This record gives sequence, structure tokens and C-alpha cells, in this order.
Amino acid sequence: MTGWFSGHEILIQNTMVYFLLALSIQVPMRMGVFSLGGVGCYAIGGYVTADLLLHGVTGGVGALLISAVGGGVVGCVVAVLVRRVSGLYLGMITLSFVLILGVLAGNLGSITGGQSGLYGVPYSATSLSFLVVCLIAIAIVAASERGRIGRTTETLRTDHLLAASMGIDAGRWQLYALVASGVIGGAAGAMNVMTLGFVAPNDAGFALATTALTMVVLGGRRSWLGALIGAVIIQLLPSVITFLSPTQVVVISGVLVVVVATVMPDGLIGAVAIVWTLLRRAPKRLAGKPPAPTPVPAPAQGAGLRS
Amino acid sequence: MAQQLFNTLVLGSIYVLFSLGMSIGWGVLGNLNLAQGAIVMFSSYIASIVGKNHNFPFVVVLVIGSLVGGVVSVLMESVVFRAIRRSGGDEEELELRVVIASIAVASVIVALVSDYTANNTFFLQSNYLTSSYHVLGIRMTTLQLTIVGAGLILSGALDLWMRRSKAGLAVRAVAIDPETASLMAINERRLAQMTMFLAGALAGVAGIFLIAYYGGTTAQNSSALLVDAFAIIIIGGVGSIGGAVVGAVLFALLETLLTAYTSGTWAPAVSFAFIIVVILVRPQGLFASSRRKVDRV
Repeated sequence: MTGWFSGHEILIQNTMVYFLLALSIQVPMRMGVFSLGGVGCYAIGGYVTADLLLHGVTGGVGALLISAVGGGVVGCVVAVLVRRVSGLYLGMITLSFVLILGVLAGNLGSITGGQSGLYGVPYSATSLSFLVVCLIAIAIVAASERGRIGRTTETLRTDHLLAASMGIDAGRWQLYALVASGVIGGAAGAMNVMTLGFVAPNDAGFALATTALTMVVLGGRRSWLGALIGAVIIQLLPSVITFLSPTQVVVISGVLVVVVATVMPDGLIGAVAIVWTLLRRAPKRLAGKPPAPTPVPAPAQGAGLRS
Repeated sequence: MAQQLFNTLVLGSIYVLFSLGMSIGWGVLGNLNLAQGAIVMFSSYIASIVGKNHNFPFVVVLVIGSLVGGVVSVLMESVVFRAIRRSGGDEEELELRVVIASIAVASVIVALVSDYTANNTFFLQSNYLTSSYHVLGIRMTTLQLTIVGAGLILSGALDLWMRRSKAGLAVRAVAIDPETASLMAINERRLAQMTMFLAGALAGVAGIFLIAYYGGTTAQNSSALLVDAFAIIIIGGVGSIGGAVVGAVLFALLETLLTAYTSGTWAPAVSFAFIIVVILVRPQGLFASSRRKVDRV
């Protein structure tokens, strides 16, 4: 087990990075805000960290904090700019933001190393420190899934008219969501550089944005667990399963994503929740009792109504 | 300069064909099909395989390309998009799921073709319509003229069809209110398939023109075009045919000028900035759009 772990350590760190990246897309999506700004902050965090470490300005922890705060500031600026935009348009305007960053990264040679990127970044991150960062993120995000914040985000996603009539300021929550997304994305970008030791314009590309989005849709949008499942399936499994060719992996994961997007609106985790509910009720039905009157497809559905 | 403007017109015509299909699919059905780039590439790939060792005339190659594109697009509509739209839920959430599913389909198509071609460039059997003319100091080939002509004729015909024909009226009705449209004895399902076939067929024609114009293409070449098409649709307005034409020519002009007068690597950034400015200042595009505008009232 320890042998397997040390052989796959980079991969596991990489999966944690992708988990945070997925989380940065998922947090806004949870309240119905489709923003890819987190991917942009991931790129910014990556370049900031690479520059800081290469010039020896700060250590790893300092670079991580600066990247996270920087990501949050950028998220805030983006949120103010796009405050009147929503839906797919918001998704696409933030995608353009990501792609512009990619072009900037390719052209600002002295700061970003141009098309080849920045190489040989000195790093000393341990898997344990990565785990700590991930656990902190999970704790905060999981806390926001419950209570008042959880109900508010749920209402914003499922019914924005209801949310408005309850006095929830959608614009302000969009701002919060984009700032949180920026902080998480910036941290993920910093950690990515610490794992791989380099950053390149590819870290702000169309492919990365779609990968992040795919992880969230695959795992599920409602809980941090969905982001984790998505990251494990997309990032970890293909490298661990070695008996399939790369083409087969792409085809299988592509078909899986199509199936999930088509029949499982809440991702794999939502499907598991439904199966779990059915299994739990099955014995009662066999015993001759009438089925439960209220269909409960997933936890916390419509919680905002009852509060 | 005149030569460059002419080249812009050719490039713009290909962009028009490509983005028109995407634009009507999005505007009418709410299907933002990001597999459009993969369909373009797949159509030209199939045409290059079928045409191998046959000396088909160019028209036949075009028909093959448009059929392949149309069939793939209809398959996606019938198997995937329709199931997503029927599962109910928030309009924005459904659109997002369509986007994700189409990205996944595109990744499968691209992976399969790059596997079969081993990432090599594939070509059409012969070089078509290569005879060239000099008019007012501009060098133009028959192929270039055909592309410009096809862009004009097809977009004009589509516009006429949407405005004047009964089916076009039905399409516009579905775009505004699918439920009421179905009460008016409109078969929404068949109409959706028809729209998506048209969208795919236009992509197929664009694919054939692209491979013929550039002399060959690779499987990985499809995603760059996608972002361009997206910019064009945003500039022109979702679902607007005239908008797509103007957007495509504007975009091609911008790209040509930037490549000519700057180092070229900055060109994409300015196009993306254009997208951002248009969305911020005039989200419905420079021209009126269909479904979304109604939704947002």
C-alpha cells in the first residue's frame, strides 16, 4: 500500500488539485451561477506562485495564501463587471476571460515565460499539506451546504423568483459565489505549480475549462462529494487503469458523461442517493405497508420553502 | 489590401456556414451544440474516406459532407438533447446539460478519428476548383468564389425559408413558445430534428470547404473554430441569421487585420475581448435574438 502510494504520489496530489478546481466551479453552480472564473483564477494563481517561488520572494505557504487572496480579488472584480449577466451568457463571458488569460500568458514573455511557460519552479509541498488544504476547503464548503446558507443557495438554484420574493439578494450572492470560487481556484492553481513545477498557457485553456465542468457534472453539483467523485473519475482512474488505451479511456468517459448529463441531473451522487432511498423503502413495501406519501428523490430538496 | 479583403470574405463565408447552424440550434431549441466543431471535422474525414480512389466531382463531395453532418446532428438531437430537454427542470440547467453532453460527444468523435488517422493530416482525393483569375489585381480561385457564393446563397435561402415558408413560421413559433406551438398542431419533435439536420448539414458543408481550402486537416483541429463561432454568434445575436452573417464578416475582418498589422499572437485576445464587451453592453447581440430575449422580459 505504501509502495503504491509513493509510486502514485504526484497523481494523488494532482487529483487533489483537480478536486479544488472542480470545487471552484461547483460552489457558484450550487446557487445557479454558471461561471468559469475559477479556472481563470487557477491560471492566475499558478503564474503568481511560479513567479513568487522562482524569485524566492516567499515560501510555499506565503505563495499559496497570496494566490488564494489574489484569486478572490480577481473573482470580486469579475463579479462586479458581470453583475447584470446570468445563465449561459455568464458562463461564456467567463470562458472568454479564461481564454484571454491564456493569450496574455502566451504574450507576456518576461512575466509568464511566453508560450513555453515557467519551468523549474522550486517546490517542497508534501501530500500531507495538500490534504490539510483540501480538508479546510471541504470543511468550509460542507458547512455552507447546511443551515441558512445551504437553504439560501438551494433556493437560488431551484427557483430564483421564489428567492427574490423571500428577500434574497441574488446579485450579492453571485458576488459571494464568484469571490469564493476565485479563492479556491487561486489556491488550486498554486498547488498545481507546487506539484508539477511548471505552469504554461495551457493552464488557461478551453480544454481545462471543459474538464473542470465535466468533473462537476459527472460527480454532482450539490455536494463537495460530487466534486471529489468527479476528480477521482476524470483525473485518477484513467492513470490507474492501465489496461485500456488512451482512446478507449476518452471514449468510455465521454459516453459516461453523456449518460450522466442525460439521465442523472444531479450526477452520480444524485443517482446513488435515489437508489439508496429506494432500497431503504423496499422492505416496507414488501411488508404490505403503503409506500411513503412524499417522494424524496434527494436530500434538502425545497428546504428553502419550509424554513 | 484588396486581396486581403477578398480573403477575409472567403474566410467569413466559411465562418458564416459554420456558425449559422450553431446559432439556429441555440436560438430555436436552446441547444448550444459545442460538438459543431467535431461535426465539421468528422464530415470532412468521412468525405475523405469515401472519396478515396474515386474521382467524385466536388458537388458529390459536398453532398456527402452535408449528409454526414446532418445525420450526426440529428442523432445527437434524437438520442441525447431530446432526452435532456424532456427530463424537465430549469431552462438554464437544461441548456448547461446540453452543453456538457455535446462537449462529451465531441471528445468521443475527436478521440476516435485521431485514433484512426494516428493524428496525421487527412486530405480530399484531389484538389478541386483550382483555376484562378485576376480581377482588378485580386487573385481568386474558383473554389474561393464557390465558397463566397455558397455562403451568400445558403444564408439567404435559410433566411427566406425562416421568414416566408410555413415550416419557417413553425420554427419561429417553437423558438418563442414551444408549448403554445404544440397546441397549434406543430410537431415539435420533427421540427427539432429538421432544425438540427440543417445545422449539421451546414457544418458539413463548412467542413468540406475548410478541408478543400486549406488542403487538409487533422482531428485535433476542430476546437479552435468553435470559440470563433461562439464569438460570431454572440456578436450577431443568438438565432439571428443576418446577425451571424455580419458577425462572421466582422470577425474575419478583425482577425485578418490583426494578423496583418500586429505580431498575430494577440489576435485571439482581441476577439475574446470583443465577446466580453458585446455581452456586457448589449447581451442580446447586435441584432435581435429569439428565445432568450422573450425569456428575460
